[in-house]
Formats: sequence, structure tokens, C-alpha cells
Amino acid sequence: MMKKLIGTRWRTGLLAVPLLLTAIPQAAQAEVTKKDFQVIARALSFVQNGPKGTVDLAIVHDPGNPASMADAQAAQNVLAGGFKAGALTLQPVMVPVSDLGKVAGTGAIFVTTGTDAHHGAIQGASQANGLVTITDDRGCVNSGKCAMFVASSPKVEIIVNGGAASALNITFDSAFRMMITEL
Amino acid sequence: MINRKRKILGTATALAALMTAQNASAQSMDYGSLEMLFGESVTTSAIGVPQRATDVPVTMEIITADEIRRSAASDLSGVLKYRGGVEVWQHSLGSADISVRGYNQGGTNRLLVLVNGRQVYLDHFGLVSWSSIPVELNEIRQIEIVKGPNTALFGFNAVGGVVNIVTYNPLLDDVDRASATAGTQANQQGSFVGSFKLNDKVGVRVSGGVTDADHFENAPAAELAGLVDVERRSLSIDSLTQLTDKTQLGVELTSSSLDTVDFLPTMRLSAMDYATQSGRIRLLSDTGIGRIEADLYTNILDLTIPSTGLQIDNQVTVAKLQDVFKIGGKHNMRLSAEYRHNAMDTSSGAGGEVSFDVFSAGGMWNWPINEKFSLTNAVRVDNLKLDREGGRLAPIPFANSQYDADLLEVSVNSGLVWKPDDINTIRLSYARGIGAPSLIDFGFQIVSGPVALGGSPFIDSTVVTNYEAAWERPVDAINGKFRSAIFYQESEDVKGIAVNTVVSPAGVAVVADNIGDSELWGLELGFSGAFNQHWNWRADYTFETIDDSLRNRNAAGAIVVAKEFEDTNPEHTVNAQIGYAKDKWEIDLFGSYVSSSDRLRNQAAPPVNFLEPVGDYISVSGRAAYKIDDQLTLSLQGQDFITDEQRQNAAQKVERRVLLTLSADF
Repeated sequence: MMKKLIGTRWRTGLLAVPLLLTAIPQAAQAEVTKKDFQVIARALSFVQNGPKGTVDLAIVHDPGNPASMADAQAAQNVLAGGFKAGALTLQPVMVPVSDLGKVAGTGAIFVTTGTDAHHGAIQGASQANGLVTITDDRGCVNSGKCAMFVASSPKVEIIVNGGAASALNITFDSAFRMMITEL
Repeated sequence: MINRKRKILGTATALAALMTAQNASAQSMDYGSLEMLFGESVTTSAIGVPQRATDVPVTMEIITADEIRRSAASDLSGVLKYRGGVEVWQHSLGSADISVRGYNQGGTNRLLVLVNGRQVYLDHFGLVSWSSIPVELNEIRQIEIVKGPNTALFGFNAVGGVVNIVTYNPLLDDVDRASATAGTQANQQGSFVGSFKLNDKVGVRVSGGVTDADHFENAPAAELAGLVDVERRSLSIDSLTQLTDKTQLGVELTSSSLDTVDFLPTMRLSAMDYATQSGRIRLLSDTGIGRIEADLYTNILDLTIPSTGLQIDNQVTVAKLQDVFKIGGKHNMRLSAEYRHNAMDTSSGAGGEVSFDVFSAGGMWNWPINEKFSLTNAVRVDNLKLDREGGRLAPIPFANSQYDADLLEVSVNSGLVWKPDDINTIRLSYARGIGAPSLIDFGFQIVSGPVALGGSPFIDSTVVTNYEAAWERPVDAINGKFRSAIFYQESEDVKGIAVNTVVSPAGVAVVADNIGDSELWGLELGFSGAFNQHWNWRADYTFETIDDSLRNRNAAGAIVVAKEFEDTNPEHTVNAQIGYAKDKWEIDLFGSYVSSSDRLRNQAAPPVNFLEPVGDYISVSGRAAYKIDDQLTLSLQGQDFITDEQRQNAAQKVERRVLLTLSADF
């Protein structure tokens, strides 16, 4: 015979605990900062035959776009003097969209927000130099112009556009691939 | 007698063939880098492919290296204590039965335990001798506990859950640590872990441990005289070689010996003498068709149980091949094939060997449908073919020709993960797990007083079906998280040894059989958090109730088969931990409340089997550690320290242990 599992009071109390939790507010989403670049640096280490050691990271920005400038300035502040995370040390190289030839010689490209009108040109520059493009602008990855989107808050999220990565002849460690979203 | 040399030679030949057959390309799982990248634990124990802990479709816990170091434990069973849904019944020093999701008992055999994917449960009966596992606490990166059946991924034995012990990577991690411990019960322990890089392509990790201690000394007089002190010796050599940019070769050799006191499946205490050896070779390759892993290992067990006269001589050899790949960037797939040969001398007195071959094939499909939903389905088919040869005890009513069982078993795991927003995760899962009969269930034979005890070739697998709903979310107010799960589990065809009595002119035999079904309902609630920078805590509550429909009693109500779960499972368990770490100090306190229950016990005089009440109890353990300098740490550990001795199970009272450990990183 089936035993009585939990008394009514027990059951009511136990169910009430989780329900109360839904009322607890969560913190607002964080902005692009040091934490994002920690993720970017570590994610780059899973690019097969990718950049190693100290890497110049091209910060591609649009001087005429305030959002892009703010993003670029934040990136430069974080990376100034060299930013080490995992096996990589990132050093910023500011590259305005009007001078994309400067990406040559860098190890990877960070595409700031607010550069939508230049995504095509940025993609061209990345393909010409075989450089992986990383961004905090999801639209750039969705459109296939950038290879990788990274966010660190509220939890780490990495989205790779398979077509864009393939066009750059970039492959990732298989364990890494299993744990990210691929478009 | 099993021809081990022949088998090991065969293994080596097969390995050589395996190596030449592969055309390179792969990496072993870089847990450390992935963990740092995603800011959370990663695991392969849930569905066989790398996942973040928050994405898994099963209820699981991951115990990190920091938590292991800061536990009050001096062995594996101590690390698993104070964890929700994990029941640790300590029978003596160096001896414990551990279950996940209830059904604990002497010689419990519902748990699959692995070290880096190699099974370390003992395959003659499916039980786990935790102290004979050749691993040192200092070399463990994390312990992954999957709750509920997971045989579609791992195979037989994973019906209650899975414990996968993941060690540091010989090629990627550099761990050099030694420790010396002394304490009550004349406890003396030494442990060593060293990492050696022969060059940038070859890494070797060597570990070893020595433990000597007195056994607990409050067993009934009839059993106490036969008990032995604890003597553990363990050695492991694990290597990883980078053959090419994308291919690695792993070779592992282990050996352990253990004298201890166990609580037998007959519910009696007995001295035990374990000796294990294992050899393993793995090839991991990142290829154009996926991440391929070929794995071949053999485990050898010599076990003597003086109180029963049983001498177990068991060898299991497993060959596995799996491919993990992604289709269209969306679908994570895992295909696997496995062969195992498991053989055991039926007993030193009867002669003969019982064995089975298992051929298995499985597939897993993990589909992240969109940002809110992901679906995982896994199926595995096992075909077990039984065989027996050699002499037998005359009263056992089965001829060798009747040991021809041919079992075809299907395991299923299915899970839906729903993330309605960035905060909440809800999981619904279904599992059909298979607990195949062990070699003991099928075919051991031994003289026990006036009767012959034996297995049965006609015994069926236990099928465990589990339905579960779980919910978890971070809770900023406590700087931590909340987790919960509610589950219902059915166990059909529970197996029992010494069930059916068969009388013939040759004598009386008592043989194994299935004895009925059992149901389990349960609930888990847990919180964890941190505050004031230096403090962390967790608390959990587990409710489990079992309803047996077992053929274990006679007409008079006396227990005639030593299987009973309904009365022996404590229904309420509360665990709590609080820790403080600042500068050179680490202080952690662990406690649990376990509600009262009866426990099954066996004695020589009638009633042979009886239920012994075990009242509710509170267990407390703790550790305080001081870092003397960059290399040396001194720690004081107290285990079950609030009373001299405490009745926590039916075997014997658990004694207070106090240990002082000096550890050095070099």
C-alpha cells in the first residue's frame, strides 16, 4: 500500500519556497567590460591554429558614431598596457573604419557596436588578412559579417557564425564547439 | 582460473591494431580552460559530450577540487557525505556503502562509478569498494554526480546514478602535492601526486597513497573477532602523449590493495581483502568526422572474504569506440559501440568460471532547438550472452548448458531543458535504466553450512524507470542559487541472492532470483550562497519514500531474503555547510540531520534477518586549515566529532575521528 508522502502542511510549505523565489529581482545586465575581454581572450585560445602569446587586437570603430566610440574607448581602457587572460595577452590597436588597412599585422579584430554601416568592409578586411572577427554586436554575427559574438552577462554566451568562420578558414576545438551556439 | 597473461597479451595486441588504425587528430577535454571561459563547471557526464553545468538535462552535482580540499574528508566516501540525494553509510574506517536516490544497503550495487570514464565499481557484483579506488584526493579536479538512471549513456549499473571522478590532465595540468596525516584510530596516511613533463608532448602524473588505521570496534562480539584493521596501498600512473596536433594517446596503469571491514549484502560485517589492477589505453582524435575516442581497458580483482570462504577472481575487459560530432552547427551527436567480457571463477571450492560478453551500441542526440529549449535523447542497446564452464557444486540445480542467457536490453534517457528567461532553468526528464544481473547473481557457487548458495542463469535484469522535473535559478539576494527536483522511480524485478530453496538428492541449494518491484518518490531542495567576501554556505533537504512490493518475507512475516528498502530508507535528510576563507585560514563546518529508520541486519541466531532501529541523528564534521607559507598547509579535520560514537547504521557505531594533516605543494 502506498504510503502517504508528505503532509499537507509540509507540501504547502515546500511548494511555497520556490514560488517566493520568483519575486526576487535579479541584477541588471552588465555592459561590455573587462569580463567580456576575459571571455574573448579565452575563447580565442580555442581557435585551432589561432593567435598565441601576446596578440594585437584591432579595435575597429566608427569615430562618427558615439556608441562605437564609447565601446572602443571602453575596450582601450581595459586592454591598455596589455590584458592577460589564460594563455593570451591582448594589446589594443585602435583602427577607425576609415583606415581598415591597419588591421594587417594584428592577431584578431574586435568589432565595436555602432559600425553596422561598415560591416561589409570590415568583413572584407578580416578575410583579406585571415583574422577572426569578434564582436559584442549580435547583429554583426547574425548577418554573417562577424565570426563570433561574445557576452559575459548575465552568463557567458558565445555565438559563432559558421559561414563567417568558414570563410575565414577558422576552425574551433571540438569541445568548445559543443558548448557554444552556432548559426 | 582466468588466464590473465593471455588476456593482457590480447589486450596489447588489440591496442597496437587500434593505434595503427587511427589517422590522428584530437584533444583531451581541457576542463580548466573551459571552466575559466564559461565561469562555471563543465562536464561530460550528463550526455557524453562537453556541456556547461547549467545546460545539462539531468539533475547533477559537481564537487570541485576546492570543495574536496576544504572538506573534512580523508577519503572519497567522506567527500560525498553531506551532499543532497547522496546517502553515505559508513561501516568502518575505509568502508562505506553509498547510494544516490535511495536504496542503500550492504554491498549496494546501483551506482556506476568511474575515474575519467573507466569503471571502478567491481563488476563481479556491481558494488563499489571506495577505498580500493586507486585515486588520491589531491589529484581530483572534480567529482560529477548524476542523479537517476543514466544507462543509455554509460551502460549497466548506472540505475541509481553515476559518480564520475575526473582527475587533472597529465599533459595540461601541473599538480605536485604530498601530504601526511595522523590521527585517532591510529590513523596514519601518506599521499603523493606528482606531474612530470617529459617534454612538451608527453605528460605523466604519478600518484600513490598509504593508509593504516584501526577498524571501528563496537561490532557484535561474534563479528568483531574476525574484523581487520585498515591497510590501503594505491598506485596510479597516468600519461598523455600528444601524437600529432590533433591526436593524443593516453596510457594508465593502476594497482591497489585494501584490507578493510565491509557490510556484506547478507547484512553482516566481514573482513575483506581487495587487490585490484588495471591497464588502460586511449586514443583521442579530432577528425573530420568528429571527436573520436577509442578506449580499451581491463580491470582485475582478487577479493577474499574470509567470513564466507568466498574467493572472487574477476576480470573485466572493455573496448569502446565513440564519435562525438555536430551536424549543421545545431545538433550534437554521439555514437558509440562497446564490447565487454566479464569473467569470474565461480568460487574457490566449486571450480568453474562464469562469464558474459556484452555487445552494445548507442546513440545520443542533443538538439538546442532555440534559446529557450533544448532536447536530448539517448538510446542504448545491450546484448548480454552468458556462459559457464568447469565444475559445479552438486546441489546447484543448473547444468552448464543452462547458462545460456541471451538478454537484449534497451536503455533510454530523454530530457527537455527549458530556459524561459536568462534566470530560470526547468528540466523534464525520463529514463529507463538497466541493472543487469552481475556474475554473482548469475553464477556464483559456494558452500554455506548445510546448503549450497548459488546464482541463477534465469535471473532477469532490474529495470529502473525514472520521471523527474527540476528547477534551478540563481538568487542574487543570497549571491547564490536555488535548485530543486521532484522525482518518481520504479524498480521492476529487484534481484536477490539466496532466494529460492531447491532440494534434490544431491543436497539443498538456495539460489538467486528476482523478488518483486519497488517504487520511490522524492524531492530535493537546495540553496547555496556567499556573503561578506569570505563566507560561503549551502543547505539542502531531501525527502525520499519507498514502497516495496518484494517477495522477501515468509508467511509468518519474517524476513527471509536480505532485501528491504521501504523500512530501511531514511525519509528526511538535511545537509548544511558553512565556510570561511581569509588570508591564510580556511574553516569549514558540515552537518547533516538524518531521520530515523530501521536497517536490515543479519545474525547467526534466529531471527536470522531482522530490522534494527536506527534513531534520527545529527552528524557534524569540520576542517580548519592554516597556510604556513606558499608550500605548506596544516589542517585539522574532525569527522563525526560531536559524540564519541554514534549509531548511523546497523553495522556498527561510527566513531569520532580527528586527524592532523600537513600538506606540501612543490
